[in-house]
Amino acid sequence: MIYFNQRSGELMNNQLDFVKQVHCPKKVSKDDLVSTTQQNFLCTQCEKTIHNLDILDENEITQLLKKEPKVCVSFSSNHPNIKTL
Amino acid sequence: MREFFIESSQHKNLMKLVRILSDVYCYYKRKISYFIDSVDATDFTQPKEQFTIDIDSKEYKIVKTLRSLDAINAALVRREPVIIKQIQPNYDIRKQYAVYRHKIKGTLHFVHDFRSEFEVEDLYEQVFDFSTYYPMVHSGPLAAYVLPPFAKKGEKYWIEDLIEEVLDYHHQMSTYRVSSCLATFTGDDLVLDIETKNVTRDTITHAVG
Repeated sequence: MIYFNQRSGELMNNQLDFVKQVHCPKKVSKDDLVSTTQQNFLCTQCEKTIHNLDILDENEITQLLKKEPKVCVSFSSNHPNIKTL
Repeated sequence: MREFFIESSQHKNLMKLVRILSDVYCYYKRKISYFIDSVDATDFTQPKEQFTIDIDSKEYKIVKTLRSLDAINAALVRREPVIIKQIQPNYDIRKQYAVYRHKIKGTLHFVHDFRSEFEVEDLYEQVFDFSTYYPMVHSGPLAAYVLPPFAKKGEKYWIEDLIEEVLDYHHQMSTYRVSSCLATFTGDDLVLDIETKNVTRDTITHAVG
């Protein structure tokens, strides 16, 4: 299970170790994202690729964030593997 | 004399054991009290966490709420200005809970916060995973607002306990009602001065960053 602290914006692994800070300096919301592929979105503000965590499982998310810790991500509160704290 | 010394050393050992047991008891008591703070084992009534709008309610006259038929009838007999309302439950108001069992005592406890489960897992075991329930308990289908004497049309009043079940915000799986708000008296009713947030059972938030 991956945990997301809604207040601080921190993603944590199942040991509650910090994994990633989910923070957008441009305060982009889901409406500002354009779907490019099934897996990714495109940010209309800064044209960066945003990974859609909703279609990834826990291992895939962990591997992605380990490989690219500064990648932009998007996920919803009903993600089966991300528990919102 | 020799027996006295043996008894004395046994007494010392016993005292040492009592001290150790006492330390262990205090340690677990602290842990238990922390856990009990984060749960309300008997709370199946109104939610305790209630949101009030950030406004100085002292500036306004108070509208009281009556929630039992006896209290409403007593107010009617006293000729107090009351506005009778039918209670319409809003089942989108929900409170999350999980049920834990004390491993030694076997007693059941509610946990209302995801974060608490990490604190309790050594002493408690989970019986039911997190779920939600409608937390409001009504004594009957009617409730009433009691206006202050000589209420004027167009004047604003502070409703302490809102009869209308209006959603305000959500945290984790729980959603909370607006408990108090301002309202304008129209002459025969009170119009609530609140902006109802769109929080429903299916609300999904997205995080981007």
